[in-house]
Order: sequence, then structure tokens, then C-alpha cells
Amino acid sequence: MSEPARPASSRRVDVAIAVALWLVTSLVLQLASRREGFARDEGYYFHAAEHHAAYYEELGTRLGRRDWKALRDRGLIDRYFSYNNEHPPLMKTLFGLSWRVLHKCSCPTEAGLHPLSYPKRHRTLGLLRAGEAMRLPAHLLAGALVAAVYLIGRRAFGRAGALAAAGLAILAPRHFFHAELSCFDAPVTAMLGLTTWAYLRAQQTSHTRFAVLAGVLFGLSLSTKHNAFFLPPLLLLHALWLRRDLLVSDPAAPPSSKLRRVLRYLFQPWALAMALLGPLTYLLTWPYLWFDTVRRFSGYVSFHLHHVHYNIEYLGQNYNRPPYPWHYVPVMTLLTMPVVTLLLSVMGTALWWRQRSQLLDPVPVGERSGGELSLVLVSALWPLLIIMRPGTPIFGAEKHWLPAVPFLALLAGAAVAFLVKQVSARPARQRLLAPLIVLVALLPAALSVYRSHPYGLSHYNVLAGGPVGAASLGMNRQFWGYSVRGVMPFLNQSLAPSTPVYFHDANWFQLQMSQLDGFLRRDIADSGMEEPGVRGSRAALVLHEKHFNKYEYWIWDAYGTTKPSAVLTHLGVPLCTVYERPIPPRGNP
Amino acid sequence: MSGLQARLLLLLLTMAAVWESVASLWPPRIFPHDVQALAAAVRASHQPGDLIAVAPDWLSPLIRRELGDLMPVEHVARADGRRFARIAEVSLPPHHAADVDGLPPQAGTQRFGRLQLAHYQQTPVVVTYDLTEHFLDLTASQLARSQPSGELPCLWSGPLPAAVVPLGPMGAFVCGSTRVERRTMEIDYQPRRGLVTELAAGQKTLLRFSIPDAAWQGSTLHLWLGLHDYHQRKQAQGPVVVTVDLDDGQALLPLTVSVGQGFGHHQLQLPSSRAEVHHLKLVLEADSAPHHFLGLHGELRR
Repeated sequence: MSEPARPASSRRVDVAIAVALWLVTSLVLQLASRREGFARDEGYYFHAAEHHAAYYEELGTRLGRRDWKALRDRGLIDRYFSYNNEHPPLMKTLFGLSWRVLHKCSCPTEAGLHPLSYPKRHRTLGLLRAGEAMRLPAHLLAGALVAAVYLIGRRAFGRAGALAAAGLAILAPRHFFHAELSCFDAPVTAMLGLTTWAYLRAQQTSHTRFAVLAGVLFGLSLSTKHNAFFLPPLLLLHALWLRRDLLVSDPAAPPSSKLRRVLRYLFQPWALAMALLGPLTYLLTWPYLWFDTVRRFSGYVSFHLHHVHYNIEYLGQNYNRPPYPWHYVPVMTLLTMPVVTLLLSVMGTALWWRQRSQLLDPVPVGERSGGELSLVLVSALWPLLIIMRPGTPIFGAEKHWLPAVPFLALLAGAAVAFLVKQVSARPARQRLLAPLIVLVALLPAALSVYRSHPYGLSHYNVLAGGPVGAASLGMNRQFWGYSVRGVMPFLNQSLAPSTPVYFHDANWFQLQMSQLDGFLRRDIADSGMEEPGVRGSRAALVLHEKHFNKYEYWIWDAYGTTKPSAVLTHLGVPLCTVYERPIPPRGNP
Repeated sequence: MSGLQARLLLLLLTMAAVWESVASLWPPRIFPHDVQALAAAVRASHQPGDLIAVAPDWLSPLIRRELGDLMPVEHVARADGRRFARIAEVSLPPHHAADVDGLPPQAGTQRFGRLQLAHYQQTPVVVTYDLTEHFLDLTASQLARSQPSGELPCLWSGPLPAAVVPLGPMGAFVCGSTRVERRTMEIDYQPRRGLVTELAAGQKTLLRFSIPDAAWQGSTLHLWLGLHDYHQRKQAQGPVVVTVDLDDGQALLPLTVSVGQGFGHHQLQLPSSRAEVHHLKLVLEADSAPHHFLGLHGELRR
């Protein structure tokens, strides 16, 4: 079924809506992230980001002097890309370049807080604090994902459903949390969403430009995080199923024509683009792989194949080695996603199964069906299934299957579109009801994000009984030490000058960024790691995760008390507890 | 699907949306003023030696923030609550502290928001000797597993335990490269006050206590054993064998401590022979010693 091409004015409205969604999402994330604590892994990436930015700055300077050898200067590349080479560079590079251009620089007075020394102030636009500038690329990418979700939804099932899908894609507390950070999980979710959008457009339009775009975006996805390696099999299977008509043979056709048909079937333009442009883009963005490529790439793959199994609490049990329970993924999804979003997603799936014809908008003239709903459904399931394998680490909780979220949102959007069309046959009434139905879909999700902020990683939904119910169920409350930001006002106010503090799971790089941005006093010192750090400290923190209990017991023994000075809570659930060493009577050390 | 069915579906969805929105606006939470009011009530009825038990465990920091001065580490990291005559239980119903299992609550259970305060009384056991309290009276030594003689003493190193804990490492009996310490252990992710012995490859570690007859007679030895430190447990291979030797071989009881177990409780009858001083020897060994930090607490109870 085809319909006339949408008028240009309508297309312009949709592009304008997509751009507005992109900008609003990015702005909201940028503003919200100013209350968000820096996470442990962000500390490492900040460090790497400055290195990467320095590389491009030095490279640019040398190329400006027509020193073309700089392009192949292994020393230069190794100096700036060796650190944190277990992760591909794209996001770190973008974080670094954003920081380099936008931060308010007082770098010469910040000795010791940067991985490189800056004797002179940088010339920058001076618009953002260091952490804000570092995080901005992640916000922009999340915004782009929301826009892409809108465009996918708009083409498949209309504006109301598309708006609901776009909103729900980011209005999930855990996704919103990760999208605030200078990390890779939300960005790779965005990249995979964008690549899937480009692939879908290539299928719908047969335009080469979308195939090329899919190839480049795939390369950028690979350069964001290794999850991207799992995308091609999914798209390939979808494409082979979708274009199976190409295999239908004409008995009269010569054998050479049959071969051509098979080749066309197997080597679709998007697939060729992803196979060629993907690796090329990947290599171009990662100079570290330009030398000793096989060994370095093998090292990268090996790091992830043999990754340490960190700890995660689930239903009262601490898991740190396989086999992991298969139900971890569905249960966590059930307890952390907004319930109405999940209901709508299930409804969207059921409708896809039972009432596909009523769900989809007609195919515009000049385009063809891209197998939209089946693509959305498998894209929602695939990331969940990968992590449900008992041998796959689960320590990152939902961040490892975050790429499912935009597609769950699209399924939900399909259900919204269906309801809009079905509740009334009269278009005028549909126009009236559509905003209300979208509001019903978005409001609970928006409120759950509002309620969870800035402790989105500690969020559990109403099915779990909120964070209080989840704590009683024995669910993980946090990781990455991000909640330490919440006790910084107490530390700033209470501690004597130069107090050595045991910061537990918060690493020094994330704390340095907190000092750079003025959240933590500069004179507060890190007393070191593990038990010697505790015993040498005068104040100590414990970030509450089940396996971290022993650190609190160390503090009791070292300080001779079980009484904390402060307890940071989220809705009454302890996230971070601060102890101060009792002041000894005079005469004692 | 008919229009009516769609409208019904929308109605259900709207109800779910209202339910979830209300839960986001007014979520279940523990309010600080409830914790403070509860703490004031506990403090008002508290007598020295009372146990304050908290359930579930995750509430503990909130309660200790208000009442930590009444909750010494020996109470918080107890093996069980049988030695306490009076117990104030702070709980988030339906959770209960294991210490009050089977005990009827006294009249006057109070609610403070979502929290509950209940008081319990019991006839406490009499502890005649506490191995953890008598840590400094311990004699520790090591002996090669392959040789019956050549026992090497583990000598004390570092500061002695004191009310005011100094900066720096804690004191311990040092046996070559391993140590015997008194600390708050993490066994099965719970705090447990007791003695930790790091096992050494190819060695038996011997812990000896000399116990006065007055404490020994009529008592039962209660021994809790488990492996300390989740990180070590993750890497530990195989069990630890603890041989309990009572009065120089009058009774020899081998106990096995596996990696996955919690703080296992054993009750052992003591030989009733008369002597001025009785000898309790614990022999600790493992076929694969690395990463085994054996935690133990023992009491002679009547």
C-alpha cells in the first residue's frame, strides 16, 4: 500500500521537530548533568580526552608548518593514545575537543589536576566548566538519537507515535543517567540507533547516500564501543529476510542472471558500505591502530574477551563470576524501566504480531517497506539476548543492554499511534486526543526521571517499590562511585584543612575533575587505597554496594566507632556514608 | 480491534500512568524526621548492655548515624544475640532481625513512618569465656604440615589494641608472611567480630587458649567459622580444615569450612575433667592455602 509523497511543508515540519528534539534533549541533559556526580570511569576518560585533544592540537600545529611526517609520527600517536587503549577513541576524542574549545581556562593555576601541564592559558570560547564541556558530546549524541527515533517513528506510524517514542527513548531514568556522562554506553546506544536509522532509510529509499551514511556511522559506532560488533549480524539477517524476494527465480532466466540475483541479495549496498567504510572510518579515528595493528587490535579484543568479572548484587546475592542468572536482564528491565513504557512496548509487540496492517502508515510513493516493525522488534530484543547468555558479564547492569531502549520506545510509540487511530474514527477527534494520549505515555516516564535525578543509577520503579523496595529486595544500589558528589558539601564544610580522606570507590581522576569544577576543596587529600588508605585517613567514605561492606568494617576498626558523621540517602536509602576519625584526648597521637 | 476495545485499553493505560505518576511524586521513603524520632524513643528506654538490632541490614547506617554511640562494634558485628537480655529492634516491616526470632515483642511497639520499634526480652546465655575478647591471651604458632615438630611462634607486632585507635596498621601476631588479627570480618557480607588467620601454604597455624576451670566447667563451646573477605573468597580454592583439640587430645573434632558457607555455628561439648587450666587448641590448615582468611569467633556458654 502506497500513499502520495508527503508534501514538502510536512517534511519540513518533521525535520524541524527532529532538530528541536535534538536541541531540547541536549540542553536538558547538559543542564541536568550539572548536578550529576562524576563517575569513576569518567575519570579515566577525562584523562584520556585531554591526551587525545593534545594530539590533534599538536598534529594541527605541525601540519600547519607543512610537517607532513606528523601524520605518521608513531611517537606522537603513542604519546597521546597509549593511555586507556582498551577502549576505542571516538568519544574520548570528542570529549577532549569539546573541552579544548569550550572550557573556561585557568589551566596554569591548576597544576596537578590535569594529565598534561599547561604553562599558558588555552584560547577557548570559555563557555562551560571543564566537566560540562567534556560531557557535552554525549548530550548531543543522545539528542541526535531522540531525533532519529522520531524520524523512524514518523515514517512508520505517524507523528503522535513518533513523538511518544522519541520522548520515551530518553525518559528512562537509567538511560537518562548514562546519557549525562562522559562515558560510552549512552553514546554507543545513540550510534547504534543512528546506524540502524541510516540502514532503514537505505532499505526504504534505496538511496546510496543512506547506505554510505550507514557505513560511516557503523565505523563511528565501532570507534565508540565494542557493542557495535554485534550490529552487522542483526542487520544482515533482517536484510536477507526483508529482500528474500530477490531470490525468487524466473525459470526462463539464464543461470548468469540467477547468480547476479544472488549476489545482489547478499551484497546489498548498505552491507558493502558497512563492510568497507565501517572499518576504514574505525581505523581513521583510531590512530593507535595505525602501527602494529594486528597486535594492538588483538590486545583490545583480548581485553574484552577476558574482562574481569566485577561484582553486582541481584536479589540479595553478590555475583562476580559466571554462570549468571539468565533472568537478570528481564528482571532488571522490568524493575528499572518506566512501567507504562514497558506496557506500551508489550502492546506494540502484540500489535505487530496481530494487527500489523493497522499499525503502520502507508508506504510513501517512491519508497518501499523497510521491514520497520520487525527491525525495531529484533533491535529491542538483540541486546537483551546477548547479555542473557550466562557467560556474559552483568556488572554494568542495564548499561550493557541500553541499546535496546530506543527500540523499546519505538514499540511503545507504535502502540500510542495505534491507540490514537483506534479510539476514534474521526480525524478531528484524533487530533484532539493525540496530545492527551502522548501525555499519558510520557508523563510517568518524565516523572520517574525527575524523581530519580541525580541518582538515576539507584533508581527502581514502582514494581520494585522504588529504591526502598529494591534495597529490601537486595538489588544493586549503584556503581562507579558517582554518589560521592552528594557528600562533597559536607566534606567541604566539615573537614579541617588538608585532611586525608579515604574516598573508597571514587577514583582520584573523578575527584580531580570535581576539584577543577569547584565541587570539592582543593586541599582535601586522598589517603590512598585499600586498608592502608583507611588506616591513614582522618575521614573515610563507604559507597554502599554489597561487596563493599568490608570497607565499612575496616573503617569501624580503624576509627573505633560505628557511628557515621553523615549518610547520603536517596529516598532514605543510604548511598554513601561518611565517617570521621574521633579526635583523641590531648596527649594521644 | 474495535474502537471500544481500544478505548478500554486506553483507560487501563491511563490508570497505570496515574498509578506510576503518583508513585513517582510520593514514593515510599524513609524520612529523616522519622529516624530521629525513633532514635529518641530508643535512647529514652536504653540501658547499658542493651542490643539495638536493625533489619533489614541496609537501614543500619541511618540508625547508627543517630545511635552509633550505643552500638559498639562488638554489638553490631555479633555472632548472634543470645547474650543480650534486652533487645530493641528497629525494622522496616515485614523484616525482622534474626536475634528476635521466636521471641514475643513487649507491649508498646511503635511506628515512626515506615519504621517500627519493638522491644524484646530474653534470658541471656552466660558467656564464661570469649575467645575474641581474650585475643591478647592467645598463643599462636605455625608448624610445617609435613613435619610433626619445629613449631615456630607467631610474635606480636604493632600497637596493642586501645580505646583510641592510632593511625597506621593494626597490631597482630605475625607468622612469617601471614598474620593473626582481631578485626571486624566480612563473612557472607555480614560484619562479624572475631579473629582472622591468613593461612600459609604448607603450614598449619595453631591457636591456643588457656581457659580457667571456672569458665570451663558446665560450659559448651560455641564456635563460629567462615571465610573472611569476598575478594579472597572469589579466588580461594577448596576448604579449610579446623581441628578442635580440647584438653590436649581428650577430644579431637575436625570441622570443614567451605568457601561458600557463611559464619557456620558449631556447638561442642567440653570434656568434664578437672584441671586448674584447660587447653583449647585450634589447628588450621588447607590443601590450597592462598586466599583463605579463616574467621572465627568462639564463646564458652552456659
